[in-house]
Amino acid sequence: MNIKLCPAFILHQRPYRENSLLLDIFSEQFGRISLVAKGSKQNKRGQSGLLQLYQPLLLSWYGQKELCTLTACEADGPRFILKAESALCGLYLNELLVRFLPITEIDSSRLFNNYKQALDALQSANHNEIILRLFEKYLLNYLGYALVLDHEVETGQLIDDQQRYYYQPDSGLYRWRQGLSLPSISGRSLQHLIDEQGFDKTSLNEIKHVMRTVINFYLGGKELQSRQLFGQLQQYSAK
Amino acid sequence: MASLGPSIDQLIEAFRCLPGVGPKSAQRMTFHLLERNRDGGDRLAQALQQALNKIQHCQRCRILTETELCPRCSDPSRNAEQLCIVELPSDVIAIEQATHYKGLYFVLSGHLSPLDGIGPEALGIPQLIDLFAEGKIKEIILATNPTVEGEATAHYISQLAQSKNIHTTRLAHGIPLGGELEYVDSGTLSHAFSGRESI
Ligand SMILES: [Zn+2]
Repeated sequence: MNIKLCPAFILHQRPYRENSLLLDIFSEQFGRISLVAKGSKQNKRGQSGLLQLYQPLLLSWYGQKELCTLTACEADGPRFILKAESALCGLYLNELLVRFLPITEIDSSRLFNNYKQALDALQSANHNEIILRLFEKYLLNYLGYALVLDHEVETGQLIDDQQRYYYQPDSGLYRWRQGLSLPSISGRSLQHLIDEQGFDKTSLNEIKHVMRTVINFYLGGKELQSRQLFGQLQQYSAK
Repeated sequence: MASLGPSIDQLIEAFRCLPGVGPKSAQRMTFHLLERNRDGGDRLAQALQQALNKIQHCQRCRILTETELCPRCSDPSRNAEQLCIVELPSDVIAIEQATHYKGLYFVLSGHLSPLDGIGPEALGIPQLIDLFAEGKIKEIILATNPTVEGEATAHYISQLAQSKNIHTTRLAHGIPLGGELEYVDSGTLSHAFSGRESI
């Protein structure tokens, strides 16, 4: 594989060998890839100044399968600057992508666009919670785990604003009954998620719990570190 | 590499625990000490052993020190109402040398990095909360790096400080003094631009 100037973002980076960086990147046409940026630790002024999270990049690389070598890097527009809570939200998006996307060559342009739009929205820090929930939805779609939200799986009956439901990961939507341990969600909140608009505090809260259940299911019970961060913050603040 | 015996191999391997030292550099250091500078090697061994025995983290600010409290934390003339929070011990040295700051410090030893498994506990956040709870601190100065993780860490701590009604400030980040716009990298420039101030 010898790729020239493919749009990409860095999801994570860490030092590698003596002077290099190991980059976990998300590229528009090839999905998630591991790249070695040789000698990048030293030339702080040049290349590695660009090799930052949320910087739209054009990357060139060559190599096979698991580990490729970065050969060129250019900026593809200004860096998204995520401040305050948005900075934490951005780390959450990156963790989602690293945990969910396999390292395989696959055209990811739709999800790539979703990611870019999410960063843009986080930059203006309007309704961060909505941005995260919608990105989770797009990610599940991309992975082939799209949520079927508009009808009950057993009966095929369309959802009703006034009724309460629960979502069984990998199966679908069911009518809520007393005594269930899964979080419940109203038909109204489901409709917000389907329409991707109309959200309010109640619906966002219900959607968050449903999404968490589904995401945890597909992660096989391993908690997302960045989600723990949010939880711990609340605990510490309450002390 | 052909082995020259277990002691040499062990020393080469031991040098590799230093950051940026690979097999080649480790071998060069080993040969240098054994062939040309055995006195230096002796001093290094003793200094290292002594430092490892005596030096610990300051119980208050977490910087390295030979005493329970570091010289700054035990200096009554410093302003205990201000706390400057930094990522690394070297940041404390840099601020001490470059500024007239007379408050106290807290060293996180890193920044939040979920994908590396570095959370609040590794950064001493519970300890920091205990300091906040003492009620002496009136202002915290967040001096974490202007990276994404540094920014996330600063926000995290600022939320905690706000819940304890502590005034929070953050270092300004921008164009280096004497720098020319043309030569400033785009990240720094956009950061400086978004952080512009009215005059
Ligand atoms: Zn101290």
